[in-house]
Amino acid sequence: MGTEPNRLSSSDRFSVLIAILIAISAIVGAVVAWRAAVSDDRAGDGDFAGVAATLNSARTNATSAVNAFQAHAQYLQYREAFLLRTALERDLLALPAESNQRPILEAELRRMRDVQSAYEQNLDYRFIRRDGTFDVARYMAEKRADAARAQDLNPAPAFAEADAFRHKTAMLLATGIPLALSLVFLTFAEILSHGWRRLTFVLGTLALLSGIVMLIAIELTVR
Amino acid sequence: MSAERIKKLNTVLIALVTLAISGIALLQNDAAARNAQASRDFQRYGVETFGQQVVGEARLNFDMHSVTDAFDLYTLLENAARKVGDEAAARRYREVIEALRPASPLLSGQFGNPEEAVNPIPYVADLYVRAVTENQERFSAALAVKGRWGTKVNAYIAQLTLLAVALFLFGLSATLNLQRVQVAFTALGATIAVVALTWTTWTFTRPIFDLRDYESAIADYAEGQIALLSGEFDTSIAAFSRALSATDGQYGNAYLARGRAYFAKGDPLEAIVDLEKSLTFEGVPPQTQSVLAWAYYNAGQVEQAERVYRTGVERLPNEIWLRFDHGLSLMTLGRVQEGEAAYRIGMDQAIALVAKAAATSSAPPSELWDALDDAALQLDTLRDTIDGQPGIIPREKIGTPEAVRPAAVALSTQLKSLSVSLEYTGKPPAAPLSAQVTVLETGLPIYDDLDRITDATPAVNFPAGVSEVALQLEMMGMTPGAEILIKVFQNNGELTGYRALLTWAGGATGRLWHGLRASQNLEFALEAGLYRVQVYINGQLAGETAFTVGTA
Repeated sequence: MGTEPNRLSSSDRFSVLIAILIAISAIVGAVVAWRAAVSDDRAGDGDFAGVAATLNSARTNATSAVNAFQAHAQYLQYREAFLLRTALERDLLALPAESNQRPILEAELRRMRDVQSAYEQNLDYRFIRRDGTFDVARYMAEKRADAARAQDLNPAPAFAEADAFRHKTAMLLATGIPLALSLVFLTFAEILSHGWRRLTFVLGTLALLSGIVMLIAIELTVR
Repeated sequence: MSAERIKKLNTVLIALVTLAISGIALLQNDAAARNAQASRDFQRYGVETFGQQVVGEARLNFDMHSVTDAFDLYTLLENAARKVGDEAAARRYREVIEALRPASPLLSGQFGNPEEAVNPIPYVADLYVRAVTENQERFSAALAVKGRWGTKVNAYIAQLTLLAVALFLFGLSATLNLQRVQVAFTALGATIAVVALTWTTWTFTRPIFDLRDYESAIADYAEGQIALLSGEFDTSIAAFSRALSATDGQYGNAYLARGRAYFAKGDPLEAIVDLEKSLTFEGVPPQTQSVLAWAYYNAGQVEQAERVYRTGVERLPNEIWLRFDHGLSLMTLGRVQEGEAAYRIGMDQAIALVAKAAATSSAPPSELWDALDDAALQLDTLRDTIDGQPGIIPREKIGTPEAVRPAAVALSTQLKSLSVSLEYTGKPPAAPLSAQVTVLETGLPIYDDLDRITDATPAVNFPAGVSEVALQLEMMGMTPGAEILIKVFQNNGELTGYRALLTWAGGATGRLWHGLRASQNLEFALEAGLYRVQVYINGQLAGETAFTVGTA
């Protein structure tokens, strides 16, 4: 007597289909969790890069400001000596040869020449404008430009990237809601009978499909 | 209920709780993201503020010291040259002065005549103080927001855990055969789920106040701080009030700042209202309590002051100045022994702090010297009030003044000697003072040909414009090499530029003339006000006097 192969009833096949869909929903849920974790990590990296760029920028500004004003102060000292020297030379020329002021002024002039020479050693004429003033803004801008070649000084792009990935994480986790809804509907489809069973099955399948579509769309939009 | 129905119910409940979990996970993630964003922001504000401060200070340092000091120096040289009739030299200096003008906005005339006095506060405000103050507020706001979102994150995690427990109970119920137990587990799981979901709703609906959403309030706060720096108390109070009104009274720092402004204006009662209010906010610095206590004291509410100081001392036991302020409130209440004990603890802490700094080759904080000087000054003021002079609080508020007065005098002397002895030797005074100052007088100096003071016309009230006050000391019991220290105080602080440390080269008795001058150049006049002079011999207080300089 031959054995007849076990045939599944339509109700059993329906149950198997529901079980498969629940399993798919669970797997998609796991993928969503994985992608959300990766996105959250990228957001954290963006924050870190932004804070590092802020630190670079602040340090560059502080260092260049301290150096710029030191250079400006040095230039002022040079300029004071230069003005006094030229004024002394002018006054000496106007002084009668026999004036008893002459040796005093000559000594003062020698001192001023020495002072001027001393300050002149470290002067950078590139930052001195035609009108004799010191260009602090150019000094600081040049130092900042030099620093920008070696390190990131602009935190805005990194912060924007961090925010984009944080938004992506939130959207991915929002995908969990249709997936969880699909679980609810498919569970109802398993428990309920007849008309309700088909309706909840359709709703569950739609929720699952929308979850999958959302996941793919989000992944394609924000990379 | 049949076992099959319970099983179905459990299945439905598991599905619903799973749905709830996915929703709460979304909320938790949102809260965590905002927490991370606030964390990033507060770090960013902190770094930016630091950078702005350094750049601003570098610029100000250049303006004040490289440019203004040079401007003052050449102005002085020009005046001196003109005084001796050297017009050519005066002209040379004038040329340098004019060349210096473009180097700093402070010399532009916009902030007052630079040849008389400039008011740097509006310049400094625009240079960096406003930006730094605003960023500091954003920093504090981001820190507070981080804390609040952190609390929400933790709450959501706890709720998710509760829902996980509920899921476990539903699952357990489905595996059991005993129907009663099944029902009990399902009911317990459902109850836990309802509690968790109610809590979630409460957490979600709690609003999070973020000061950064009220930029105008932050700007008003900065404006108030700048006005406070300028001594424009009404403008400052109005600015803080605008900040409070814009935030619907949710701005704790603005209450604190307005309280300080009211206090500075001389209205301690209004200050108390704001300071008390500020203490209801999280993140307010612990020192606020002592500010409040001092406001109570100034308002004559000494019992409340003592109570708040006591709490402050319990919270911050190592703050020496707090110990002294507590001691002062106790003394004022007439609780002399307790007051003396509080001062003694503070003095012992000061000795230990200096010894510890010496042992580690570091230095104690400068606040220590201020605390010791201020404590002595407050006790002197208390003594003066008992003697009938106007003080901080009315005389009738002082309990048992006859017992308080000698104790205040003794403690003040101890504090002054301790301060000097610790500063110069690192140790408290060892032996009692053997030397004596028999005469300590001030007067208008009389000079010899070398501009040395040889005599003085005795006076304690000097006219405006006086450039030097002579101090005459007659001493006995002196030993050669003894150190004489002269300290001068005006208002509440020491004028450290007047401090002089002299070495006695005479015999056991003798006289010493010392000139108190604002500058080596006698063109500079002493500022108007009350000056208190203290004389120390070998680190111990030997005499005190005072004089006044009138206003022009």
